[in-house]
Amino acid sequence: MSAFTIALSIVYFGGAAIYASSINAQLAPASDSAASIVASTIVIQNGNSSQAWSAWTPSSDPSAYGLLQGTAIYINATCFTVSDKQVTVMWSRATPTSVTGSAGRADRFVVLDDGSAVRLEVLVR
Amino acid sequence: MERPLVRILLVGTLLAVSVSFASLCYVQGQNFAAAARQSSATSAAYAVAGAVASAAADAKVQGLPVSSVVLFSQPVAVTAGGRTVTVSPGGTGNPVNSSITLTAPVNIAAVSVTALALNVTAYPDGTVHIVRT
Repeated sequence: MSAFTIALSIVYFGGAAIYASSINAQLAPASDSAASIVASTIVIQNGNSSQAWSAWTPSSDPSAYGLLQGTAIYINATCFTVSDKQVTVMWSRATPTSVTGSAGRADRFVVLDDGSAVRLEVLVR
Repeated sequence: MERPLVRILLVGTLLAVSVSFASLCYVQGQNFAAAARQSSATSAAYAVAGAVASAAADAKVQGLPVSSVVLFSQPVAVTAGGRTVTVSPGGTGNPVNSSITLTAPVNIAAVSVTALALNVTAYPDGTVHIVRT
């Protein structure tokens, strides 16, 4: 009787684990797309205007990007210039909390109108 | 006299447990199937919205029209307009759908199409066209 119950439990929880794994695999590309939405929204809002980027503050609020509440977002942006083979970091901003675990990722590189450039890294989980 | 009774009780209990297990598996299977359908719709909607946002961002920065192609593993029905994209995997008859509204200033030309592949073209002014390839 005990062996029978144990066998049923193994089948049940094994099946549940397989289903959960397949759904996670299905949603993994969605995380990359969500990260792309966040990064693209920031780029669309700021364009290649150095003034807009200077005044910009990264936000990890999902509603600011049309994502579901509870979505964890990490944004890290660095503005730099290259002159005489020297890289000078003009500013660097990031949201306070990093995203741990398997997260979707998007990177953008934007050349600004004053000759500087911004590297934008977004993680979403 | 006692042994047959015990045997009957044991077999009856096993049958009851089996029936309970089968009905539990059926209900859970239905739940998992619904979750899989919804996650498929969500994933497809994010793919389309991500392609729209990415093309619009590139078009704005480059000052040129930018196109990209989104491929699906099954036909999807896409209805879009303004800033909103709604996707139903499997075609228009599927009641399961997922909708995403972008906050970025884009203007998707109204479209309703069912396809395995979509071509997304964005222009520097924020206009986005989605067509079947």
